[in-house]
Amino acid sequence: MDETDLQDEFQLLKLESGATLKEVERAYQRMKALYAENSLASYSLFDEEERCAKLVVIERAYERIVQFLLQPKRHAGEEPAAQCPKRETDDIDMNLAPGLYLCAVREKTGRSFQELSAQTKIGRTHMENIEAERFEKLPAPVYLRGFVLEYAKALGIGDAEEIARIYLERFQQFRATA
Amino acid sequence: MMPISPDKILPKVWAIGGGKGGVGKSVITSSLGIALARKGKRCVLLDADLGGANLHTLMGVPYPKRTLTDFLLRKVSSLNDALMPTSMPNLSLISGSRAMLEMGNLHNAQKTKIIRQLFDLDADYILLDLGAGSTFNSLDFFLAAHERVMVVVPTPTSIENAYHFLKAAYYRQLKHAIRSAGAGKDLESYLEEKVSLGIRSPAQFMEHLSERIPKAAMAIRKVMQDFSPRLIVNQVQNMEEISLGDQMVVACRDFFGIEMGYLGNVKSDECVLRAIQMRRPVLEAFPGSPFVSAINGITRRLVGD
Repeated sequence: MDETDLQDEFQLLKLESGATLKEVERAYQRMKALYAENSLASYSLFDEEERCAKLVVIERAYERIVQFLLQPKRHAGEEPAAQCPKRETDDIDMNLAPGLYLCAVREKTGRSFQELSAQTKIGRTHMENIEAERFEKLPAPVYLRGFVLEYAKALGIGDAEEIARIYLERFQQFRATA
Repeated sequence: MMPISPDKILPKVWAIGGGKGGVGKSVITSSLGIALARKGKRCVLLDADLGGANLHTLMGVPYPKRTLTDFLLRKVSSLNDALMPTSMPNLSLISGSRAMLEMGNLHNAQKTKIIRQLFDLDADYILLDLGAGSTFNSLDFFLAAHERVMVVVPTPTSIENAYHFLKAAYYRQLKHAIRSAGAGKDLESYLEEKVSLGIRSPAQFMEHLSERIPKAAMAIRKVMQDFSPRLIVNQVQNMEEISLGDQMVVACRDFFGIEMGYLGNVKSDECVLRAIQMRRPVLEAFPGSPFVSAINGITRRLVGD
């Protein structure tokens, strides 16, 4: 996936080309606030149905952009994780971007997928898909919950249950709108 | 042909409207006028709120000797003769006071006469204080102006009225655009059928138009690009209200497909009420107040400094 494939999504969130994850997150929050129920700036311009439709496309656009920004950029012989810019976990809201949160924690710990896979017995592809929130590629909820829980525990996240719950909620949301 | 005198500079006309009454249009209009006059610009305030004119009181001219009514009743022959000086240099007023009761609804010919002569007034800037509501009078003054400024406050009623006003102004402009594009009668009926066609916003309407009649759509789009209102959010009190202006810009882009220019916030300031009670302009009574610095910022943005 290239940024040019996501022109509509960038436009929808009023993002400039080359936006960072943090900017994407902020733009997403802004747009969600604009089309939230009872939003002063939009309720008398758009009816309920349009407003909800807007929220759905905003959600999709956000997910696609985040997926794109998190996709590993591979070069021969290099460990993809090493190329990701370091993200601060404090900047990321676990409730809004649980996948991104897991990714940031992993980067912070400096542990490799290989190592984590050996410990958790979860395949590397699954871990990557979980971090990138590639919902369409993830297994059924019953397995997914276990994966996220194990992964979060392996990363030393205190409230692994909570992040698994949030993750599943987002997964179900995606299922409902897809 | 009459030679056009080379040193004649046409005045810039700013209309200040926005639908709801009591949101501070008159206070903002008079303050913008004073700010301009202090910059050495010759400025005329025209009280176009004929149903409820009160600009004269805000300007400290309780009994204006000449008013817009005198012009409409032909007691004075030109709009220039209806100008009243104010206590401030460079600033004059055309008052809407003493308007007869039926004058809230001007005849089309009267309105056209005022609009035509507006651009002939001997001034650098003309500021129109529009009345509340989305009457054709307000809409036509709004659309005739170079700068179309909407004033809102962060309340549901104000935003609802402002959007209603904007929709009414947009469609009035769109009808003109369609006519001048020569797109003709069938397009006007298309405009009326828009609901049954599932078109819910002007942005969607323009998209349909581009598919059906691409050439005319381009001409129409070009005219509608000039429909670029400006926005002032008055009486804001907290962070949430401060973000309202930016949100409205995005909502209007999504709905109308237009770019609204956001001029800024004016924070709630008790100095304003106190100045009104003193019947003195805020800029004179409280020059150091937050209100005055907000007004100065907005004036700079409008002048384009």
